[in-house]
Order: sequence, then structure tokens, then C-alpha cells
Amino acid sequence: MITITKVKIKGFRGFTIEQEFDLSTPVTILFGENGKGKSSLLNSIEWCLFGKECVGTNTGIRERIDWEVKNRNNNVDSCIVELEIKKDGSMCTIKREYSGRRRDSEISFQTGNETLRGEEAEKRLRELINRYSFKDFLSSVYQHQEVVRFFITQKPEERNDAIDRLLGLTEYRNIMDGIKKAEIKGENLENEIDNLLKQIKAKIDVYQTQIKEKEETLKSKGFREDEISDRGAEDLADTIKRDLKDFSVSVNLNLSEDFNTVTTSEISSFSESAKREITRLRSEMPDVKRQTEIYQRINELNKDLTEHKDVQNDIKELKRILEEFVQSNGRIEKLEEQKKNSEKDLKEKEREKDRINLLGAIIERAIDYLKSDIVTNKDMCPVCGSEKENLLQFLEGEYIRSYKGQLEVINREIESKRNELKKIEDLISEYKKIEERKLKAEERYKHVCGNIRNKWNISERDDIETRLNHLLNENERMSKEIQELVNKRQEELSKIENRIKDLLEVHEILKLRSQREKARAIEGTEDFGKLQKKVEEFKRLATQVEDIVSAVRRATQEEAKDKINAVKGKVDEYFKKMTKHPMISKLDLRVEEDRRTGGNSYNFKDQHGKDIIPILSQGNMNALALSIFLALTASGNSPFGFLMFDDPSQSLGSTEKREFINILNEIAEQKDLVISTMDREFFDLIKEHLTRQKIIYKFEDWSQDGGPQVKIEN
Amino acid sequence: MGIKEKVERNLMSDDLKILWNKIYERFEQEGKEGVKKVLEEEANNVKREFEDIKRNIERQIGG
Repeated sequence: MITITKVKIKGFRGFTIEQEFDLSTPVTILFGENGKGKSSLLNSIEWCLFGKECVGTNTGIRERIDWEVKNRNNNVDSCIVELEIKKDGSMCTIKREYSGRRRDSEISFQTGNETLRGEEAEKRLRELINRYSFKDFLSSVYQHQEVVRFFITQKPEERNDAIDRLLGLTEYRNIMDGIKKAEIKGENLENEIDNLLKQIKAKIDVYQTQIKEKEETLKSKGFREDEISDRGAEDLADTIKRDLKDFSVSVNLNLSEDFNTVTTSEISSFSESAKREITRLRSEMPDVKRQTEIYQRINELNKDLTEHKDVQNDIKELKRILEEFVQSNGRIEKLEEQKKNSEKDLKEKEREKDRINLLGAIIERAIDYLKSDIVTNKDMCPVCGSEKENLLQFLEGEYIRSYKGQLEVINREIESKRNELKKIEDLISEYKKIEERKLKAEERYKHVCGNIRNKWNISERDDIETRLNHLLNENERMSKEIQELVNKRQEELSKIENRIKDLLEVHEILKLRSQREKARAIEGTEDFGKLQKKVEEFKRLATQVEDIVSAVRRATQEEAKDKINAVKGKVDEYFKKMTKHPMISKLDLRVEEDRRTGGNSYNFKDQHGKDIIPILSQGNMNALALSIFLALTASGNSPFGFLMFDDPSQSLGSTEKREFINILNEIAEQKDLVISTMDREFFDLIKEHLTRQKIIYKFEDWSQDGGPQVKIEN
Repeated sequence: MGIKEKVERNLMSDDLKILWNKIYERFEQEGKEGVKKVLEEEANNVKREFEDIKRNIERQIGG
């Protein structure tokens, strides 16, 4: 049996700083008003044992839905609960810690010198508590008010589940849950076979429709029923072979393939070969070759005609441009004459300019001389004897008037002459370029004419254009003639091609008929037999699972009946002791098979076999729940050697409370008790009448930083 | 007598006992999820073979 001798709590729910509680005394009383930390102490034990299993909606406790494990105080960095556990004389310590940084809590399991952590620690803990789940713990160790109410007021399935767990039938329940979840149903594969048969039928219908459509198309082309057959397909293939042979003879070509007798299975490959043969015949027929040659000749003639005309037009155009040039600018000889005259005038003007520049230079030197210190006679010109000042005056006036004035005039004249010369030179150059283009065009014309004459054998006496047009007309006439012949041949080949298409359609119908027959016969195949065997195998498995479910139910009912029979006297005794109900002289707890679920159904009947639930008050119901809890936990095979009660005296009257304590005295002979209460009357009654050794923790106050303020009263 | 034996004495054939032993062995190892898994594995073995044959038949009918 597992007992808890000590619990150390820090930062868990209402606790902030570390506090330690000795639970080694047979009875531990937690007394205080609501909100002082009593429930946090009880909760810390279940959290340490079950971790996240005791948080959230799965617990079936409303207040656990958004339950916060860690205290919100800023000074609390993590919550830690440590339990010192005694089992069969051995001690171990379980420590669970949650910092809020990781998703899950961390656990360690210490026994002797060995310390396990994580999954290994969880595994060892589960072994220690015989794999009891949190729900088992709630039903058989921790008398939580909300869970107690499951026995009586909640749905019958939940009540039955809770009592099953109290009776230690958890494993049966869990096995049944696992089997239910697997959902092994024989009809699953049967449905699949039905679906497959439907699929086959639908496929046959599709084949039938396709066959009908294709048959109608062929019949509209004149096919008889008997021609849409293996024999018909072979005959049609023979016709195609014969047609191909006749055609190849008519165009003097050999067939590249020697088609032998065609069977139905060879129709696809025969059709492909025949199509290839037709493609080859279309391109290699002599008429087609000749037609191609004529087309090429017509193309060549058109090309040469165009080129001949283009060159002729080029020459004409250049001649026109030259005539226009002469009309506008005169003949080239005249322009050459103008150029010579203009060059001569320019030269004369440049010589005149040289003369003026020379004169200017002489006057400049004379002025410089007269103004320099070299002149000894300061008043007279040493050359002409003129008075110096007068001479200087004259020379400077002459320099401006004669030299500068003349230079300006001659420069303008030279510029004009140069422009005139440039214009003439440009005209001459333009003329020469046109003349050159014309010569080149004439050379090309000669070359083109030579080529055309050689190519088409046209004599020098014949006009090229006339001769080319004549040849073109002749070839176009031949082309028309051969086109008719080629069309006729192509039509013949198209007819053969259409026969091949018909042959393929017949073949397709034959294939569809074969598929349809295969689908119709599928139910008789070996594979279908195997499929049905698998369904039988699956149904056998489903039946076996059902048999096992029945066996598990029978076993759980047998065990439930044995256990209920063993405790029903105690339940009756406890209930009657506590309530002294005037209408109930005997409480009969019965277990039957739940017809709907197949599980155990527990019922509460009075001495007349009537259901007692409808006549019970709230206090009576609480007493009934406590009676069942106490009778079953006292005799059940829970691995826990202690019970925890959270405010058990709710709705109980004074007499009921007194009687409840008498029963607790009986229970305390077998298990340690941890009782939390805010009920002063109940607390006083416990102190006075619960005879086992007690330790009392008084939860006097609670502060945000210090958590519960607890005093011990022995 | 444990649960295994209590259930077993209610089973008539050897086949049932073999299946039950498989179920209980996995329950001991993995809890109720183990029960679910072992039954699903048994069912899937048959289903897989069934599906293979079914696919073969579908191929035969051109599906």
C-alpha cells in the first residue's frame, strides 16, 4: 500500500514560498476558510502523481478546464511539488517541476541511490501506482465533490464508469475502450465487395454503350452484323491488302512490306504498317514526283520573270533620273567647262589678294621704320625726303583705306567663287554616281539575260519576257493536267485509309466485347474467390473481436457482481447509519448488464425493489455517494493506502456528520485519511470523535507573497 | 487469477485465445492504445491483401 509521509510545495497554485507538510500521522486535518490554500495542498499531491493528466477538460471537473499550475506571483520562477512516499516499507521521493518555459513538467523518481528522470521516471511512477489513471485516483482515493456527484446525479454511463473504477475494473474498461476505438466491423469489406460489384456492373454498362454506338456508326456505313466479327475483321484486312497491292502496281511501285494473312490479334500492327505504306505511296507516286517538278519549274520561271523585269525597271528609272538632271543642271560637258572657268577666276582672285597683302606688308614695315629709333633724322623720311609726320599720317590712312578695304572685298569674292566651285563639283559628282549606277544595272541586266537564255535555252533572237511567259503558260497547263491525275490517286489511297479506320473500329468493338465478357465473368474467377475469402476472414476477425468483447464483459460482470456482493451490506449499513431515511429500510445495490452498451449497470433499489434516487434529498444523495465511496474504497484493491476528502460534509446534517465520523473511524483502521474542511461543526466533531492520532493544519490566512499561513495543532 | 485468465476462461476456441493473448500483451505494454493498434494491425493485414486482389480485379475489368 502506498502512503504519503511528506509533501513539500513551492510555487504551486496558492503556494509561493516552499512549505512542508508531514502526512505520516494516520489522520491529517486541513481546516480553514475558503481560499486559504487547503485545496492547493490536496491538488499538489494529484499533480505530482499525474502531471498534465489532472489538468483540462478530460478530467471531467469543470474548474480544471483553465487550471493554472504555477503561481502568478512574480517572485515565483517555477513550481515544485515533492512527495515522500512509503510502499511496503520502502521509501521513494517523486519530484515534479514546471517552470512555464517548457510545455510539460519535468519529473524525477528517487529511490535509494538511484534517481530516474523523464520518461523512465514516469514509467516507474506508473508501475508504483499499478497504472492507476487520474480518473481511478479520483474515484478510489480522492473524494472530490464533483466526482462524488457522478455516482448519482450525472448520466448513468458516467456513474457506471465511476463505480467500475471504484471496483478496480479499470483495466477491463480500458481494454473495452481500446477495442471500441479499433472499430473492427465485418460489413466494412462486404461493402467494398458490393461497391466493386457495382463498379463492375457500371463498367459493363459503359462497354455496352460504347459497343452499341460504334456498331451503329459502322452499320450506317453499310456494315452487316456478321461483318463486325473476327472473320469480318480478317476479311476487311484482306481487302485492304489487295487494294494496296493493286494500287502499288498501278503506280509502278513495290510495297515495302509483304503482308501475310492477318489474324484478329495482329490488326493493330497491320493497320499501323498499312498507314505507313499509304504515307510512302502518297509521296513516292511518279505522278506526284512529276507534279513536284512542274511546280518547281513554274516557281523558277516566275522568279526569273520577276528578276528580268526588276533589272529592266532599274535601268529605266536611272535613265529618267539622268535626263531630269541634265534638264535641271545642263549637260556634264557644260558643267566641266563651268568648273574650269570657276577655278581660273578663283586663282586670279587669290593672286589679287596676295598683291594686296604684299602692299599692306610694305606699308606696315614703313610705318614701323618711321616710328623706330633707327631713323637718325627725326623729321624726315630717309627714302623720299618727305616730312616724317605727314608721311606717317598718309601711310596710316592709306593702310586703313587701301589695304583693309581691298582685303575685305577680295576675301568676299574668293569665298563666293569657292562656293560656286563647290556647287559645280557636287553636281558633277552626283551625275557621275547616277551614271555609275546605271552602268552597273546595265551590266547586271546583261548577266541576268545571259543566265535566263542559258537556263531556258532562249536564243539571242527571241525576246526573253515573251519566251518566259510562253514557258510559264505551258507548265501551268501541264500542272493542271497532272493535278487531276494526282487527286484521283490520292482519293484511291484515302479510300484505303478509310477502310483501315473501319477495320480499327471493328477491332475496337471486338476488344470492347472481349472486355465486357471478361467483366461479366469476373465473379467466377479465382481472384474474386480469393476476395470473398478475405471478406470471410475479416468477418471472422470481427466475430472473434465480438466474442472477446463478450468474454471481457462477462468477466467484468462476474468480478463486479462478486465485489458488489461483498460491499453491498456495507453500503446499506453506511447509508442507513448516516441518513436514517424513514422510507428506506434496506438499500440494495445491484449490478446488471447494460442492454444498450453491454457494460455494467449499477442500480440503487429500496426494500421493495424501487429506484431510490427520485426520493433522495441533496444531503441524502451526498450521504449515498459517501457510503459507496467509503464501502468500495475500504474493500477495493486500490494500491493507495490513504484517502483524501475535500469538504465531505456538504449538505449533511449534524447527525449525518456525526455518523459519518463514526464510519471514518472504521475506515481509518485500514487507511490514512487526509480531510479538508471549512465546516467548523464538522471540524469540532472530528477533533472530538475521530479517535486515531491526528495532525491538524490550520490554514489561518493567505498572502500574495507568503502564500498560506499555516499553524500546526496537535 | 488475473484479468487475462478471467477473460480467457470465457473464450471457447484456441483462435480466440491466441487473439486475446495478443490483445492483452499489447495492453500491458501500451495500454488502451496498444489494444487499438493490435486490432487495427490484424484488420489491416486482411485489408491490405483484400485491396491488392481488388486492384488486380479492377485492372482486369479495365478500371
